[in-house]
Amino acid sequence: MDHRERVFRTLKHVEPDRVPLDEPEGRFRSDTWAKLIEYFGTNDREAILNYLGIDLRHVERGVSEDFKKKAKYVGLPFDNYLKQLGENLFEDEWGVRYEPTSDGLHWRYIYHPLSEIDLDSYEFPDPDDPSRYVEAEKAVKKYKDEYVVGAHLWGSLFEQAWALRGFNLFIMDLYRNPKFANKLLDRLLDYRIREAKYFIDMGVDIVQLGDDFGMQTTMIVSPAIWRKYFKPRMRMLIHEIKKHSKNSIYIFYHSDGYIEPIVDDLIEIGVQILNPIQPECMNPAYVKKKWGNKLTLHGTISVQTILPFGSVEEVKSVVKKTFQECGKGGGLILAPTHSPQPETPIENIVTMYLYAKKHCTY
Amino acid sequence: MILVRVVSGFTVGCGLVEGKIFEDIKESFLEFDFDETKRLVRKAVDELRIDPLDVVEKALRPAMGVVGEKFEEGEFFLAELIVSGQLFKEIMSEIIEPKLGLGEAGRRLGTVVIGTVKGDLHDIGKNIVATMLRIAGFEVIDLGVDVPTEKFVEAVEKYRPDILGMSALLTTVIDEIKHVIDALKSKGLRDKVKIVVGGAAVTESFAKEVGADGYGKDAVEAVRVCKKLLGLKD
Repeated sequence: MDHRERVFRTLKHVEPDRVPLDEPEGRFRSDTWAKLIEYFGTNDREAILNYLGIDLRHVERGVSEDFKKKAKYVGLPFDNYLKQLGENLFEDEWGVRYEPTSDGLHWRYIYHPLSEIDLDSYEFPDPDDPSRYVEAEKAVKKYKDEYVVGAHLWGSLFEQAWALRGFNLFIMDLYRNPKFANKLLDRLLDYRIREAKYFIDMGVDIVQLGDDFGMQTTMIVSPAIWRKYFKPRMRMLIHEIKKHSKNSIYIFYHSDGYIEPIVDDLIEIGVQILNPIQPECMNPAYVKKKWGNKLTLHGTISVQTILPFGSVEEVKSVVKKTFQECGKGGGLILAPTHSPQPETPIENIVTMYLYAKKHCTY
Repeated sequence: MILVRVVSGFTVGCGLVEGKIFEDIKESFLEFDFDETKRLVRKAVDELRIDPLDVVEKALRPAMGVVGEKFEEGEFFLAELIVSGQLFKEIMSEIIEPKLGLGEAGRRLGTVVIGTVKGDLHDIGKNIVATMLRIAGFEVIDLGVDVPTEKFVEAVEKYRPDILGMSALLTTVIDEIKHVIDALKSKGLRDKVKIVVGGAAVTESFAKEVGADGYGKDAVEAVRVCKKLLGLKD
C-alpha cells in the first residue's frame, strides 16, 4: 500500500495495512536530525524518513525575500530566518525578539512589539507576498504524488497574538480590553485565511492549525474564554479553508497539554485530526473511546516519559499498547508528541518508528 | 452621606456597612471588574473611612483565597490567576499603599528569593508563585530565569531570605537544583534558609531526594508550604 492510500484510509476511519507514521507536529529539530544522521551514517534525509516509515511530508510558511535579505538562517534553537540584533538577540518578521538560553537549546521572548506600538499603526508582514511560498510550492510538487502533504500553520491565533502583545498583557486584554483583543484577533484571522488559501492552491492535503491552550493538567484559559474569543474565529477559518478547497482538505488541530473540555467544540467546528494527545495530559485510549469515530489521533508517543526515559523494550511495549488501544478502525497516526528533547536516546526514537512500521499492522 | 457618617459612628451600623462593602468588593473582584472593584475600594477607604489594612485583610486577601480555591477545584485557570494577581497589585499600588504611613506596608511574613534554574527559561508558573507570595504578604526577590548557581548563592548571602524557591520545567536542568543546594552547603548557608522547589519537572520524591524542605505542585500549594515552613497559619 502506498503512503497516500495508507494515510487517507486511516483519516477516513478505515484500517490500512499498518499504522501511518509521522514526524512530530513541530518536526524534528536540527539536533535530532544531527543524531539521526550520525546513527544512520548518511546525510540523505529522505532516505532516513523513508527508512523510518514516515508517510507524510510537511511544508510551512516562509519569510519574504525582503526579510531574508536583512536576516540570516539561524540553527538551534530557532531553525529559522531571523535578524540578529546583538550577540544574543534575534528578531523575527513580526518584530518579536528572542534570546537563546545559556545552553543554546531553547529561547525566550525578550520583546513584544504590541506592548508599546499602537495596533492601528502596526503593520503585519504581507501574507500575499509570493516569495514566502516559493519553497513550500517546490516541496509540495516534489512530495505530492507519493506522500500526504501537510501545511504547518502553527500559532494560528492565540500564540501569535500573545507573541505580539506579551503573554500577561494579552491575557489581561481578554478580560479588561475585549475591544482590543477582538481587533487583534480579527486581523490575525484575516491573515491566516489569506495564508491558508495559498497552501490550498498549492495542493496540500492537510492544513495544520493550532494554538497551545493546554497546560499539563488544566487549560491556560477557561473553556468559556476560549469559546468567546477563539472558537468562533477558528470556526470561520476552518469554514474558509473547507470552502476554498471544496471540502477536500483535512483539518488538523494542535494543542499541547490538556484540552479535553474543548474537544467536542473542536469537532463541532470541523477539526478532523487532533494532535499531539500527550498521554501524561490526556489519556489517548480515553480520547479514542470518546471521540475516535470522529477524530483521527495524531501523536500519542510521549516525549516526556517513554521516549526519553524508557528502555528500548519499554518503548516497543508502549507503541504496541497504544496501537491496540487507539488503532482500531483506523483513525491513528503515530508520532512523538513533540520534538524529542536533547536527552532522548536516539535508539528510542528509531525503535518507535521501526517497531510500529513492522508490528503495528492491521 | 450624613446618614452614612452617623451610621458609621455606631458599632453595629459600622459592622453592617463594612460587611456589605467587603462582600461587594469580593464579588466584583471575583468577576475581575477592574473599574468597579477599584471604585468600591475607594468608597470603602475614602467615603466610609475604613482602615485600608482592613480592606486588604477582610476583602482583598479573602478574594484571592477564593481565587486559589477555585483554581484548585478547576473552576479558575492560569489566566484567572494572572488577572487576579494584576488586579490585586493595582489596587495595592493605586489605592491602598498611598494611604498607608511609612512602615505600615501591611504584614511582612518573610522574605523569599525565587528563580528558574540555569538552562531553563520557563517563568509563567514561577511568576504566579511570586505574585501569590507577595499577595500573601511575603517580600519576594525574583531573580528571573536561567539563573546560575552562583547567582542563587549570592542572593542568599545578600538578602538572607527565609526561603529560597527554585523552579524547573525541563528535566535536563533538574540537577541544577542539587548544585545550588550543594553550593549552599559548602558555603555553610544551607541551614540558614528553607528551600522550596517546584515546576513540572520536579516531583515530591525528587524534592526529598535532594534534601529540599518543601515542594509545591502549584502556586496555591507553594504559598501554603512557605507559610507552613515558617510556622505561620494558613
